[in-house]
Amino acid sequence: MATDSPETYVRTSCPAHNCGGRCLLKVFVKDGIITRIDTDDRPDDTVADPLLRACARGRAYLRRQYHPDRLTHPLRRVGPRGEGRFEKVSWDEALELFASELRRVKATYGNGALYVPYGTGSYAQTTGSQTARRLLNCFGGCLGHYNSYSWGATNIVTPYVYGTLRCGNQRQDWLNSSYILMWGWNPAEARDGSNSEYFVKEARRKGARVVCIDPRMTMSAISLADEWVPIRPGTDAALMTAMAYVIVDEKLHDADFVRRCCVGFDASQMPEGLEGEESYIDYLLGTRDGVPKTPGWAEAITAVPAETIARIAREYATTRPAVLYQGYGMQRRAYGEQVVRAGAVLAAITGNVGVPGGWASALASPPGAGPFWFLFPMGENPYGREIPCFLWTEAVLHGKGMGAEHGVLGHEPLDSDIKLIWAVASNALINQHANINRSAEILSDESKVEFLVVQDNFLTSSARFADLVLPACTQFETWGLADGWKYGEEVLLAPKIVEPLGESRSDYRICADLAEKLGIAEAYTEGRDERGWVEWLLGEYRRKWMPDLPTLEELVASNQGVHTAPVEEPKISFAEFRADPDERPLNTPSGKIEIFSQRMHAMGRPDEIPAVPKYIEEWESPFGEGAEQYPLQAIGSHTLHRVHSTHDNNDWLEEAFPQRVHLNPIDAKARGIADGDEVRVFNDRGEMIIPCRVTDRILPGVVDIPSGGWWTPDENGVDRRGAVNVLTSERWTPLAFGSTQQTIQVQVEAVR
Amino acid sequence: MRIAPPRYAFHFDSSACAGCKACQIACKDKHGLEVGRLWRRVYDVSGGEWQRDGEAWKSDVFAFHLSIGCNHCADPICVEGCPSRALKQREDGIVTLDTERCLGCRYCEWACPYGAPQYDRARGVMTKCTFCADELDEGREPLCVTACPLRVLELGVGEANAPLMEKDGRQDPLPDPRLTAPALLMEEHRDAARARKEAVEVIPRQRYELHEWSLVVFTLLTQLAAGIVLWCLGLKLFVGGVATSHGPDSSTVFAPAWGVATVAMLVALLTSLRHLGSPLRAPWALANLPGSWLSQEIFTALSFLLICAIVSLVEVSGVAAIADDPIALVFAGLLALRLVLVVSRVYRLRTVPTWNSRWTTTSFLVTSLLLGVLVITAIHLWLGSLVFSHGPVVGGAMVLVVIRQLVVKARWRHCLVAAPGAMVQERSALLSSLLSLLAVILLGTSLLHGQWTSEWWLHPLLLLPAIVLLSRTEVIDRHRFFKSYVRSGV
Repeated sequence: MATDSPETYVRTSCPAHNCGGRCLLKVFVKDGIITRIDTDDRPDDTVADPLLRACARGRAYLRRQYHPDRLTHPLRRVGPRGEGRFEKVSWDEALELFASELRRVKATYGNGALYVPYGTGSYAQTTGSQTARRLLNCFGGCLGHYNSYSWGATNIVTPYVYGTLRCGNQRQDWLNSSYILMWGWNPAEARDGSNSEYFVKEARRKGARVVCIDPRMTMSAISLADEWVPIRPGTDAALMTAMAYVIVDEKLHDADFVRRCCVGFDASQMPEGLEGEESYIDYLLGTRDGVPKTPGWAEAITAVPAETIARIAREYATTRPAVLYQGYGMQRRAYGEQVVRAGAVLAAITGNVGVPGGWASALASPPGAGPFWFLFPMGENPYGREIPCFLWTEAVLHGKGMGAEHGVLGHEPLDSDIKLIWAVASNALINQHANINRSAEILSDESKVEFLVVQDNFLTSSARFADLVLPACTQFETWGLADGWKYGEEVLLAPKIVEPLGESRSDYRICADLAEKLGIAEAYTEGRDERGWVEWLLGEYRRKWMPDLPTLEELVASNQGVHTAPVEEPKISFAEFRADPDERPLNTPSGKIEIFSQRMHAMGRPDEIPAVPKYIEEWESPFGEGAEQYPLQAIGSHTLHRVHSTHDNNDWLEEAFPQRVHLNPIDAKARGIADGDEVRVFNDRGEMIIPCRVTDRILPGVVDIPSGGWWTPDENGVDRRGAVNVLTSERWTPLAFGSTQQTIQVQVEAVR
Repeated sequence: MRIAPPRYAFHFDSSACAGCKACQIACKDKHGLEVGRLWRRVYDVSGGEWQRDGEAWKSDVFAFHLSIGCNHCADPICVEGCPSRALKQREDGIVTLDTERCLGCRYCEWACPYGAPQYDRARGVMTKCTFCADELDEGREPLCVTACPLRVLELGVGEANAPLMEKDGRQDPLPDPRLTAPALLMEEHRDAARARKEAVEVIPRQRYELHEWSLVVFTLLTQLAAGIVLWCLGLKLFVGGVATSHGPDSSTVFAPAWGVATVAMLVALLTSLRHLGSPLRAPWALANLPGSWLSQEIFTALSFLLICAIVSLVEVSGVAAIADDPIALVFAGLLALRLVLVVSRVYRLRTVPTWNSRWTTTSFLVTSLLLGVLVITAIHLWLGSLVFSHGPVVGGAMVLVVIRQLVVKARWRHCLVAAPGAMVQERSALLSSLLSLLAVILLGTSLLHGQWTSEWWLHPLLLLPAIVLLSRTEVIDRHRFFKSYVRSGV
C-alpha cells in the first residue's frame, strides 16, 4: 500500500444511529483508512443556520469504525442458541441458508410469521431495517409494526389532544420565549435535535428564565437552567395537575383562549351528551373524587415542596410566552399517556399554543414537511397487519389470533406466531427490549422463533442469540442520506468514504444479494445500487421538501456534505387555528384542543384511560405494595456514552462516561455503600452488579442506570455491565401499547 | 520571558458548559490519544446537600463544569522545572514539549496545577496540549474550540501578557492564577462562588502515580551519604582524633565512611534511572542548569559522588591518607549540605503546598544527619571502635530521633493546613512513632550503659536493633512524604 498518498477529507453526515441529532463530520482519509474525524467547519455560524457540531459520540467514531471486534464475515451458530458460539461461513452459504429458511417458514406458516423487529441502529435511508422490510414486502409481505420504543405513548396520544404530531414551532422561535420549562428534557445530553441545547442557551442569553424539572441534575440543568426542580419519577402528571390547580385557582389561565379553542375545561364546554361527565375543573377541584389537586396534594406525591409547585405554576402562567418542553423518558412509563396530555393541557390553558415564543407541548414535531425518517421506499406490505413494536414478544408467544386487544392494526387478527426474525441494526431483541431475562428465555426456545438472523457491525447481545450473523458495514463504507432528526432544516449526504471492512457489506447490498437468491432481485433493486438510490432519494427530497436541493453530482463535487434551509422566521404551529378555530379546526372530533377526549371516554376504562388527563399511581411505585421489598425507583437515562446501545464498546466514551449506577449519598449511606463500590441492583426480574457513583445530583430514592450497556451475564446470570433492561418490565401502556421501561422498582445492596 | 503578541488564550464560559466532553474527545481524535491520556479534561465540580422537609426533598445541590487543557501560562512552572529543556515556550505563548528530548521524569506532571502534562506510557515521555499549534499556524482554531456544541470554548487572541485570570481572582477549584499566570479567560458558573466557600467534589480526582519507590531510595541514600560526610566533618572538627585505650584511632572510621557514602551515591543515582520513562536520555537531565532544581539536583549529586569516589579511591589505592583530611572534609561537607538543600528544593514546588514548606528542607536535613550517624555507629560497631566517640554518636542519634519526630509532626501539621481535608492520617504514622520510641529506649540504654560499665559487647545488641528500627522509620516516613503530595488546583 502506498504510504505517501496525501491525506484527503470528505464531509459527511454523522452515522445515523437515532441519537436525536444529525451532525456534519469532516472525515480525513489516508491510504483508504480513516485517520481522524473533525466536524462542521463552515465559515458562518448563525442562529438561522447554525453549525452542526457533532457530540462526543460522533467525534469518537474512529474507535467504533476500527474496533477490533468489528464483524468481518458471516457467522453460523454452533451449540445451543444464545451461548454465543459461531463458525465462519461464506456469504454464499449464509445467504443460501437464509433464503431456504425464508422459503420454508413462508411455506409452513405464511408471510405473517416473518418479522423485522424495531431497531434504529442505522437508518440513513439506504441503511437499516427498512432495506429488509422492502425485501420482505417484495417476498409477499411480513408482519409489520408501528409506533416506536422512544415515543410510544406520545406518538399515539398527542393526536388525541391536538389532532396532529406537528405541535412544535421551529426551534429558533425559542429565542422569542420568556420562560422555558425543560420538563424531563435534557437536550444537552440527549440532544433531541442538533443544536437544541444551543438554542435554549441563546434564548436564556436573551433573557428567558429556564427551569429544569428532572429527577437528575442533568447536564441541561447545570448548563442551561436557572433552577433545577428535582421530582420523583413517574409523578410528573401530579405536578402538572397541581400547577393547573394553582393557575385556575388564581385565575391566571387564558380564559379567552380556553373558551375559543378547547373543549372539556369546565362544565360549560363538555361534548354533547356528556355534559354530566367529569370536566378538567372537576378533576382539579376534586368535585367527583373528593381530592382537590392542591400543591400540598402534589408535594406528597412528587417530593417537590408545595411552595415551589405554586411558584413554578405562577411563573409559567404569567411569564408569557412560555415553553413547556416535555422530554420523552417520562412517557415511557406505566401511564405515559397521562403526562403527555397533562403537559399539553397546561400549555393550552395558559394560551401558549399558536403564539411565537409559546409551545404546545406533547410530542411537538415541527411544522412543515420534514424531516423524513423513511423516504426509502419499503413498498406495500401485502400481509397488511401490524403490531405495536413493543409487543413483539407477545407475537412470538401467542401471535396467532392476536388482534385489536393487543393493538394489532389490520382487518384480521394475526394468523401465525412470529417464526423467523431478521434483526437489522437492532439490538432490541435482547438489550433494548424490556425484561432481558424473559426475552433471552423466549429466544432460547428454538421451537418458538425457528430462525433468527441478526445483521450488525458487532456481535451484540442480541446477535449472540442469532442462528446466522451477517456482518454489516458502517455508514462510512456505503452511501446514505440523512436529514435533521426531529428538527433541522438540512439534508446531509453520507458518501461512501472507505471500503467495507473485511467481508462486511452494506444492509442494502445484503438485501440485494438475498433478493438474488430469492429470485426477486429485479423487483428489489429496480436496477439501482446504493448510490443510485441516494440519487433517487435526493429527487424525492427535492420534490417533497427542498426544491433547491443540489443533485448528487453537485453535492459530491462541492464536498459540503450538507444542504440547509436557513430559518430566518421560524414557523409557528397552530397559529392559524388560534386565529380562527372555527374556520381552521384541528383534526380532532371536536375540531378543538381536547382536554376532555370523547374517544377515550368511549373506551370505558376510566381508571387507566381517563377522559381528562389525570395522575395515576403507577403499578410499580414507591407508594405501592412492593415498595418495601424494592424501595428505590430506577431510571435508565440517556447518556452521551451511547446511542441506545450503540457505542457501548467505545473506549474513549467509556473513559468519558463510565458505566455506573448513580445513587444519592443518603441512599448509599443507608446501605453502607461508598462511591466506586460494586453494588448489586435487583428486583424480581433480574439483577446486575456494577460499580456505583454516589452523587448528590440525583433525588434520594432514585437510582439511575444509564441505558444501553450490553447485557453481560456472568455464570450466575447476573449482568455485569449495567444493562438496565434486566430490571424492566414488558408491560405496556394502556392506550398506546407503548414501552413502560422507565417504571422500575429495585433494591440496591453493597456487594461484600 | 517576555511574550510577544499575538498571545493565544482559551476563553471558557463555565456558566453554560454542559460537560458533554465533545472537546475532550475531539482532542483525543486529533492527537491520537489512547485511554488514560487527556490533553483536555472536563471536570465535574459539585457540592451541596439534601434535606427532608415533610413530604418534600429540598436540595441546595450545585454543579458545574470546567474544560481545561493546557493554559500555556505566562509563568509556566512546567517549563521552569523541566531538567531537559524539552518544555519550551514559543513567542506567542504556546508551551511546547519536545518528545524527542523528554526523559519521562514526570516532574512537570507534579508541578502543573492544571494536570496538563500527560504521560505517554508506550513511549516513556510526557505529552501535552499543543494548542493545536499546527492548526493555528494555518489560521484555523484548535479542535476543542471548534468542537463545542454549546459554543462555550473559544479562542482568545491578542490578550494581555499579564496573568489573564488575575483580574477575576481565584476560581476554585482552579489554582490561584498568580502561581502560573494561565492564559485562561473564564466566565464563571453562577455557583462557582459557592465552590470557594463549600466543600466540593471534583471528578476526575487528582490522579498521578508518584512511582516513588525509586525516589524513596534516591532521596534517602543521597541524604544518608551527605549525613555520613557531615558527621565525619563534625567528628573531625569537634571530637578530633582522640584515641582511647578501648579501641583504635578514630580516623579509622573515616575511610570506610567515605566508601559507604560513595556506594550510597552510586546506588542512589542508578536507582533514580528507574524513575525515568526514557532512562537512556538521562544525560539531558543536566540541560537546564541552573534554571531547574532538578538539573541542579543531579549535577550536585554527581559532583558529590565524584568527590566521595576520588577520596575513596585515593584512600584505597594507598596513594595518600586523605580520609580525615580537613580540606577534603570541609569541601565535601559543604557539597553534602548543598545536596540536601537542593533535593529539598526539588520538592518545594509552589504549586504543591503540602511540600512547599521549610519543614521539607528541615526534615530532609534531620533525616540526613540521623541516617549519617546511624552509618557512623554501624561502622564503629563493625570496627569494634565505638568507645572513642560513644557519647557524641549515640547521644547525637538520640537527640536527632527526638528532633526528627518533632519535625515530622510539624511537617504533618503544615500539610493539614496547606491541604485541608486531603490528608489522611495513616497507621504508618503511628508505627513510625512507636519504632522511634523503641529506638530511643535502645539508644538511651546503650548510652547509660556506656557511662558506667565497660561491657562493650552489649552495645551491638542494643544499637543494631536501633539502627534497623530507625532505618525502617525513615523509609516509612519518606513514603508518607511522597503520599502527602497534594497540588493546588485540579
